[in-house]
Amino acid sequence: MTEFWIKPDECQRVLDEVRDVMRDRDRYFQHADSDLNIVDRNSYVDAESKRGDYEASELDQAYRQFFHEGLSPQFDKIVQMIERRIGIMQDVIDYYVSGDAEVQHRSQKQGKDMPVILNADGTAWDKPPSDVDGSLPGGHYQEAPYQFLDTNTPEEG
Amino acid sequence: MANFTAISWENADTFHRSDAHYQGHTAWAMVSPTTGSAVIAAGQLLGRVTDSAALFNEVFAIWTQFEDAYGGSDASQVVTAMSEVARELEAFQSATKMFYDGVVEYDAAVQKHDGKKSDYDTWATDWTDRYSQFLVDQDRPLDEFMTKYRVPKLELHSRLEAERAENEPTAQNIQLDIATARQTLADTLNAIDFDDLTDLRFTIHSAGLDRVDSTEEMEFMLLNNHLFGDQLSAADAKRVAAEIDIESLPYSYIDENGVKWIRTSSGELVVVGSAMDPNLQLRTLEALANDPATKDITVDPVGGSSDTDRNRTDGLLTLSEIFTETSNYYLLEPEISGAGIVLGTAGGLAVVAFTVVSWGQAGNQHAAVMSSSHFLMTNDQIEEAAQWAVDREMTITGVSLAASVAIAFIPGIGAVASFGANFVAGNAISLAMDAAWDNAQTESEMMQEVAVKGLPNAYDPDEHARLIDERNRRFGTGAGGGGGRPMMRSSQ
Repeated sequence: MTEFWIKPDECQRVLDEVRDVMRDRDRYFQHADSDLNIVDRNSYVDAESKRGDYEASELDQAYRQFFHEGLSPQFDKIVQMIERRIGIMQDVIDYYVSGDAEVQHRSQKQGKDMPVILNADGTAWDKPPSDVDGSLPGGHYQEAPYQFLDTNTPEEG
Repeated sequence: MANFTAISWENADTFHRSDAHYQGHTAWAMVSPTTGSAVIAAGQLLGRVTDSAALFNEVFAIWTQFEDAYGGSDASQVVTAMSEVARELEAFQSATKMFYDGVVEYDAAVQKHDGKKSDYDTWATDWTDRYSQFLVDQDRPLDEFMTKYRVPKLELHSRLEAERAENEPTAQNIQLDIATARQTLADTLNAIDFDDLTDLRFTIHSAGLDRVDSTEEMEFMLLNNHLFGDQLSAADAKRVAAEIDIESLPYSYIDENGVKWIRTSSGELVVVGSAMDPNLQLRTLEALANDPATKDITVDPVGGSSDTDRNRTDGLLTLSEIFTETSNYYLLEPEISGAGIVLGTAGGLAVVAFTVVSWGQAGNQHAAVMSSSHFLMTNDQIEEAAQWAVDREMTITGVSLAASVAIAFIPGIGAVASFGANFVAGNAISLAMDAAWDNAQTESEMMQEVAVKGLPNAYDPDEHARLIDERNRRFGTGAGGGGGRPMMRSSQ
């Protein structure tokens, strides 16, 4: 008897909730670059500096450089990392729900690792559709499509 | 990142004098750069980043629910999948704080010369007239000169030079300070390295590491809380502890050892179920406030022994009143959505007990902050925190400030009180100041709130200025920290 389990409905609910929050991901940051435009060009030096305009623009550039080369890419990186995890987790759920997981486990005789599929309340789930018998409309069996947790592989930002 | 060139002043010699001003006889005073908009822009950027971080933290909190939804062989990896993202978020926030701190310090360095120009120019114009006249008159015969000035030429010259030596640095310092502040800002911006800022800030205080695992341990924690533990009976503690569901406390991060952590409003990660867990504190306070036998337990807002501490005459507060006030912070962000991450600071507690008065300034301040923020801490834990602050200060400065500074804690805005602590202990303490961020209060707003609450002595601008000077003298004006030193928003 396997010690593993999965509640696909619950997983999907969690994932949907995450997606709901992520819909607002740009809400606060999307106009951040406009903050830079309110900086007075005289913030940097007094008008009596010899090269006032040039030197004043340096602060302006520093702001923009920090934002465009540092902060904004970091924001994008975070969003991409989260989206990647959402996508992978969706693959995980689909993998089990589609029956592909069962097929793979059967074929590899690794039934002991196959999680018991449960309802949200912990009761047994109906047998998932599987294309073992060709019953899954348009279903294409695929081996575990996700590689969730290869933490040794550096992520691209 | 930023590469600023040195400022070159128009027609200035090495003594900061210009022919265009006072005929080159004395340095000229410049108008300070207008830095207010830079601070506003950086503050707005920080606000956007903080709000975005709160949103991502909410994602992390929701993600932890996979613990109850996915029990596959890779379950632990699924649940901890957001850890790496959390590190990147840490860098996102820390970098912005460094940026903001750098701009604020630049602004502070520049603005400290505000208002000096007018007085200086008055002096400089008058002095230049007198000096120029002296240069003309010094060629006159001695008796004429004496008749006019009644002092010998050398004597008058020496007096004028002495006057110049006394006053000229005012103008020279303006230019020097602006140039220095500018370079400091550039250094600060250059020091921002996103890769270096990805370390999560785990607490080092045992109060944030030792967790209760059972109702019995919760009882023990209650009875030993430093603020009113002695007013609780064993029966009270047993009854209240039974009301608290330790297992269901939310968390925002789970480490590879399966330990659950919650991020406090100051960005620190503390172990869920520890005395520094804001959710445990709130639930405990709620249980105490709802219990007929404990709701009227009173807490002395002034537990300190110094006369200044005792100036607070607000009277005693009941636990029920404290809960009402504290929960107002939390109502803004329901616990479930942010899992405590985006909640207001636990420092919203309306009371403070200065339980430690012998640790020197940094120790006292930190103890006070910890006490006001975490009533579940024991006296030993408070003392440990105070010792940590003292040790940290010693490490940073080589000395410990012995003098105790009177800073009062104000219900709802404890951040004012901890402002000094942040400066005195340099980068070490970054606790309740985040309340200022949460409340988006400027310094002037805080002062206004102090006035409204009828606590005019709670905020002392002179002391505030002294602390800033002290801090700058000790640590320099550069940011240079890992974003651990929040600063109050300028009222500019």
